[in-house]
Amino acid sequence: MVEFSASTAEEAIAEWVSSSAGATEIAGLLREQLPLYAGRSSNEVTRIRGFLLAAFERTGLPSEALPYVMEELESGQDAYTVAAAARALRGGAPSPELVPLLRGALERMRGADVSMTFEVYKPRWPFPHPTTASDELRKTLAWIGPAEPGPSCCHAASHTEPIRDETDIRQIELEDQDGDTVRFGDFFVGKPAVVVFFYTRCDNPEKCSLSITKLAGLQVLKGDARVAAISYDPLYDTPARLKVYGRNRAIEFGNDVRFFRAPRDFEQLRSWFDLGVNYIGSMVNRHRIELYVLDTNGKIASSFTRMQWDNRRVIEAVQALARA
Amino acid sequence: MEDSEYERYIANYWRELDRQSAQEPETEMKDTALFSEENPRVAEAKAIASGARSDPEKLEKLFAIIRNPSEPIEARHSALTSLRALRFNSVVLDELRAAYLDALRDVIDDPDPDLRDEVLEILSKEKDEYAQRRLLESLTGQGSPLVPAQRALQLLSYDIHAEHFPLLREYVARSDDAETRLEAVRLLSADPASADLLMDLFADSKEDQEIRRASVAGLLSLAPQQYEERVKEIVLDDSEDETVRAEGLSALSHFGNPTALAQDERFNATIEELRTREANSESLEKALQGYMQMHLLR
Repeated sequence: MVEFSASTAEEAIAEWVSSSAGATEIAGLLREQLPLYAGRSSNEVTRIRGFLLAAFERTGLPSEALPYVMEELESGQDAYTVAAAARALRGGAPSPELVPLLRGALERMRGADVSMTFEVYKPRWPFPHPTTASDELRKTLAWIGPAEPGPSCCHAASHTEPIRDETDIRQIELEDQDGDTVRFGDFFVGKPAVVVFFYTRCDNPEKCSLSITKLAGLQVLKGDARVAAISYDPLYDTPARLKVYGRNRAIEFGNDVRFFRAPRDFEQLRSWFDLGVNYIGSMVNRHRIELYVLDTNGKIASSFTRMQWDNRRVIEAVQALARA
Repeated sequence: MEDSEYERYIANYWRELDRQSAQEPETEMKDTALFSEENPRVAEAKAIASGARSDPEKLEKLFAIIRNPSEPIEARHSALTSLRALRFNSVVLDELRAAYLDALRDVIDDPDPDLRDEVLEILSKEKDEYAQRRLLESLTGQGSPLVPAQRALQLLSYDIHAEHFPLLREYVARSDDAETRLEAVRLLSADPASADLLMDLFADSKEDQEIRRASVAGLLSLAPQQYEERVKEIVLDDSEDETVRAEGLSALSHFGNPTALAQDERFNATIEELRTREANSESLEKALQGYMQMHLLR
């Protein structure tokens, strides 16, 4: 398996994709937390990921890449990666169940579309053989054909995570929206918990803002479970910012409902959860949607990542823990 | 709201917008004399724009005016101004965003500096990756300058994910242009990783006073509690420039931890004592009043 580092020039990655990369190798480069993406600007990350995704049209779309493609169609804001995802689907078999995602992406690209090309990496203007996200989405819809789609598909499925990191994070100090500190174990042990990762400077309304808005709907669990959010951006997301962000999205803070930052020990949390996030300096350059259900020992029981989750499924997962 | 309900809601929203657009056909004002411009082409551009909101052909005409170097510069500016306004209320322009940005990208290298500046501003506000790339290249010497460096930094700051913070730190460290350095310091107020740098700038009595003032304002919005004690020391230092002390005190007033400030008896006693001095500068006096109102007179 090829490995690229943070210092690999993006042009070199693109050259490899264009010349010798196979579908499985390309899919292996899509995880956000790879060192490949560390220290790169958001634009650079977007260019790389878009070029990787678009290549699946030529190489074929392996099953392990499909969640990344679906994620872009569901919540991607950048026309380049959305277009790339639409192209990627054409490397697989036509799937009518994905039509709602494609149509949703088409709506989202109204007012957000831009000319681009996948013929050349990091092209100069004017671009050779330009296309747009709308063009690519319509092309894929036409390729799938007139089959009637079923009901909206593709919520995040719950899956159980293997233990990735044996570090005991119960001693990690968290600071909440009121500036009060608590150890991870003191809040997350004793009751099941739901925890979402986000940051207030996220500019994708389909990710962090929507995640917190949906988290507000999970406050029905308080009492039986804890409901929490932890910032990816602990230096910037001060308690005051956490509080305002939550309140603006109908979060009612209390003993069982808190937002946190971990200014000193965030890297331990990041490793323990194997968070799908990367950074340039302290700024997030890319992240996925991620919600974790923790058991009464504070261990991950299940996770809902990448696609929008259905609150009902999360509630079911928590209730199952409560019954166990 | 269920997902299917949400999807139906969104689809209905766009259908309603389209229906309203179709019901309100605009009349192009054919009588260009109504636009009393010296330049008839400007009047024509305005006449086209007056009927363009729901008309893709007229929007394309405006794009063509912008990108055509043979058009009078005033007409090109007029078309740009019209499109900026239409961006807020034209559903059709939403659909044509890609073509709109294409026209703007065509003008990035135009010989007219004002036109370049205007299109780059629009593209920067649209968070256009290509424009951001060109601006970064111009700042790092990899491309020709498109706008002055200070302006390029401002344009990049429209998108915090433009990740120009390392470049800003370079400018603070190395630039000999005072205005550009000052702009860079202002913009670093969004970068927590620059808090130490901002503190060092504020604490350096040999540093330019404007830079010091900009630093403390950014610093305390980024990391209020972490640097409060050091800022307080400078505020209380009689050997320090009074405008710098005033800026530090104002920053504490707005961003400081109210509980910690209320409990700092030594600091507050000194502030009250400062307030009684007759020789305070106007800026320090104002800052003292502001602090006392916010923290001491409650």
